[in-house]
Amino acid sequence: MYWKMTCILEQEPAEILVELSFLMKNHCFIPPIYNMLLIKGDDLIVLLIFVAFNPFVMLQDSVDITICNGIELQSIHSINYLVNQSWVMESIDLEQSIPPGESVTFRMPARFLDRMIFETDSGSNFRMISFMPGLSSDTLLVTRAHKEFGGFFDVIMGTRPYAIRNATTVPITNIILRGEGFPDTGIMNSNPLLTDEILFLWSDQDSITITALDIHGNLSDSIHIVRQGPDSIFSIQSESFLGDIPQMARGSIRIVNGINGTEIKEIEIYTVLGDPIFLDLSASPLDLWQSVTVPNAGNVEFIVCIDTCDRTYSAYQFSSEAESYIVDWWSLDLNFNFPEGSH
Amino acid sequence: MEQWLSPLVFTQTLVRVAVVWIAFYGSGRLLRKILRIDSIFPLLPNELVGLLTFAALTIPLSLAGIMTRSICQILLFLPAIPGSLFIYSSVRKRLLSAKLSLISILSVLFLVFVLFLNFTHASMPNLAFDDPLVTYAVQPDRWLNAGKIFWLDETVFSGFPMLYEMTAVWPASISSNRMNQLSVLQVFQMSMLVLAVFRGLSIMKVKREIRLPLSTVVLLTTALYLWCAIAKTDTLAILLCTLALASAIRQKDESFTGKPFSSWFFMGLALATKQSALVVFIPFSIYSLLPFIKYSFKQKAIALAVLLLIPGVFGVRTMLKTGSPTYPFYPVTYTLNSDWELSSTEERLTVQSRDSSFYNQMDFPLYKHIGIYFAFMEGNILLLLLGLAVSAAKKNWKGILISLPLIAYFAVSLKLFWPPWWGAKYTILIYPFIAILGAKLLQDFRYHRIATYIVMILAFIVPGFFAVAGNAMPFSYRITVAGSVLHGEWDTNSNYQRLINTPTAEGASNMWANAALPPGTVIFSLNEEKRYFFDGTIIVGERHPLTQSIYQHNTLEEELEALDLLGVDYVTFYREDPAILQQENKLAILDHIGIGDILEPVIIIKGGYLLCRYNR
Repeated sequence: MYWKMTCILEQEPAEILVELSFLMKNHCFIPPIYNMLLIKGDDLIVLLIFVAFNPFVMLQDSVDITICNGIELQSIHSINYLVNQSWVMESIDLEQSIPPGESVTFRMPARFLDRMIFETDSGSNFRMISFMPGLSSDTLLVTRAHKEFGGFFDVIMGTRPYAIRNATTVPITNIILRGEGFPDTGIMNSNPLLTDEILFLWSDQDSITITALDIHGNLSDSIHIVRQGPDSIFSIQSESFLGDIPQMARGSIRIVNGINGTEIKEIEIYTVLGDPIFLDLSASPLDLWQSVTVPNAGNVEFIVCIDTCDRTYSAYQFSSEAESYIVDWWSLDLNFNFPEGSH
Repeated sequence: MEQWLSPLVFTQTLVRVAVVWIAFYGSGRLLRKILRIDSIFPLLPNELVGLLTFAALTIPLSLAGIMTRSICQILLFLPAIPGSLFIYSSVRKRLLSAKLSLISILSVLFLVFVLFLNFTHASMPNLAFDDPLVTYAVQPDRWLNAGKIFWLDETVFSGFPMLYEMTAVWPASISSNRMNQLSVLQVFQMSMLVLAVFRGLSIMKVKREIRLPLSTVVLLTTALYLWCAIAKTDTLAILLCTLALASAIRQKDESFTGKPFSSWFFMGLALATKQSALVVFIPFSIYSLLPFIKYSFKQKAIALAVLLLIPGVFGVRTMLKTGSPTYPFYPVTYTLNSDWELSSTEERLTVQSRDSSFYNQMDFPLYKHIGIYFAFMEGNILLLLLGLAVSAAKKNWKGILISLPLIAYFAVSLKLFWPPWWGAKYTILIYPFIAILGAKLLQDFRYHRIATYIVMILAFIVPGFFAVAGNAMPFSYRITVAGSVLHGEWDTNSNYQRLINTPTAEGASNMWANAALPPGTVIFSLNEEKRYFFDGTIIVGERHPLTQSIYQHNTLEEELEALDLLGVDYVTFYREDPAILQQENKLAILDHIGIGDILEPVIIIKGGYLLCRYNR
């Protein structure tokens, strides 16, 4: 009982209201005098007022929420929600899917919801974020505007999350779960996971093994993920696509093509001291994730690469994990010159 | 050190803009006698004669298809040579006759300090603000690329009025690259504010001894610091409105003996620059009505002709193209061609209506709205109030009477540009005039010098220590900007983490696309409007007459048909929230984002802006 009291008193006032209403209504909660004496003076006064007037019985612990399907040509076949400060995905039992234009009413906890996710029969997700239902009832109209267009995606196969971030330089088109009972086809739809986007995979397993598929169809190494804290994010790095990275000799550098859709045909290495080094790769240009190693390059300041369309890229950052300079689309040199012939 | 942010680049930009003004002044002074300007427009300053000559010169150059950067540079440098000689002799004469005192030296130092703050701010290319990157800086840039003036088909903003764009061709032509071009145009704008103040003071015959502190008051105004450092029409409109109102008053002076057409000409030029100058026409017409009645028929005809001539030319051009002389704003609907009809979407109207429930958090009480409106004016309104107080104390009813038309202006502009937290910026056209009129009233006061200096000190205090009417640009910001220009990089230790020349996500997307995509690429943007940094074509769906239907409830096929008609190659929008409010519900194409689908994601730019390949 004392534990519950101290937990409550660490929360925000609005949350205390909701929590206390739960406790008082469902557990006939009356704080014993000896526990109350452990609470600080101001809190005790507030609590005494609450107990004296006990307004919480007036508040509902659950509300009726009507879900209207406003999505064209798609039926909602599952509804999941995440209560504030909880990392356990709850689901609503749907006896049958909700066809377009129809609505169904459910009883849901009267709590602040971090996320509500609506899965449709076409495999798309729609979501509402940071939502507080009305005091007695509420209506939610789910439309295309609520679609998971990007930023982060949810794949619901259980109740607890694995946050998987694409930290590579290219779009990831699918993530394949390894192990029995998982589909070989992967868990994503056609909308790719772009750089820095996060996939929330909700699963009940304590660890999973995944393989990522990039936009060129390359498979990453198998990546084993063990569940850690609820806030932890696991990143798929470009190194996962590079295979075994050999130990580099001192003074050598490696340059990796991290650009999808083009090949690198020329590399210029600019060192702090000494002349630049030029590499002509036009005979066998570097495709995505292919690399070239330059021995004795010295102390490198930056790298310039030229692709087969004559676009130039400048890379300044050395990736210590990949022991390489990875050239990507964001390294593209911007051009502020006036177009040729406009003078 | 960034190539567009250094003391050297700042100096080069100032020199380039100075060359433009010297050329304008030189050509104006040469042409003044030849064209007998004094016989009809005696109050027209030399540099404005030159500015108008060069703006007019764009027409034959464009017709010949030789309005290129090289040709424009040569044409600028030719009159700059005699111009520099004229200015040298004039400055020398002025310096030799100047009486130096401690207070005058201090005044100069204060003014130089404020000018330094304003010009360093203006020299930082503003990559955050939309308008120049949507149209005002785009048109001179594209015209110079093409060697001729043409109607940009991907935007509706090629219509009336265009005087600013034709003028901006000249400073734009002597810039070194597209980033520097923005910087030069911005500094050019700020220089026009300085010109507006000094020429306005000169026309109104304000005493020399208070000109420097008064100029400092105007230049310190936060709204002018902000809006006159943007490459758009505002500052040219400020210059012309100030000269129009100042001339209208001066022409009523008994000592004035010339022809009274200068004010009408200035007002016409202002209308040919910015449509919101029409509100300034209210006090202008009140000032001009009585003299106009007394004019002969011929004089009336000339006054109206010089008022309407230049806006009329632009109006006719716009009408020939679209059917309405005032397109795209407030078009004459019954003459407008159906191809050019713009039907703002429900969502756009909600966002654009600043008085709607969308802006609930700005729903202030009336007194606060009015407070914001006048607080925007800072030292300018203080000068006017002080001038009025002095006139009232001295029973100078003529002085009070001359201020009354401003009340009509305040009332109409408050109503038109309501609510003021959004609309007060449209009233900056009159700020320098308010200060000049205040000084004019004040100068009859025995202690007018002291009074002006007190206002100047107050004007330093206001932006120095308070965020004026929501414009958080106090001295600490201004000094951070100036310091960043001097150091060649943004001062990340300051409280101002956001640099105005940090591109927004969609701006960065344009820059990336310009380097990555082949020439001639057509991008369709769902909502964002910037296009300056992209050499290809960016069609902004909501602004283009041919794509209005996409935002209505229709089928996927109809949407694709509209995109196919325009030859779209790529589509851009914000990844997480592609359209404003819940407009996604009307855009069926958004159901088709994916690899191999209609909209295939290519790259996401920092800030969450997505570029998709359009697969058909």
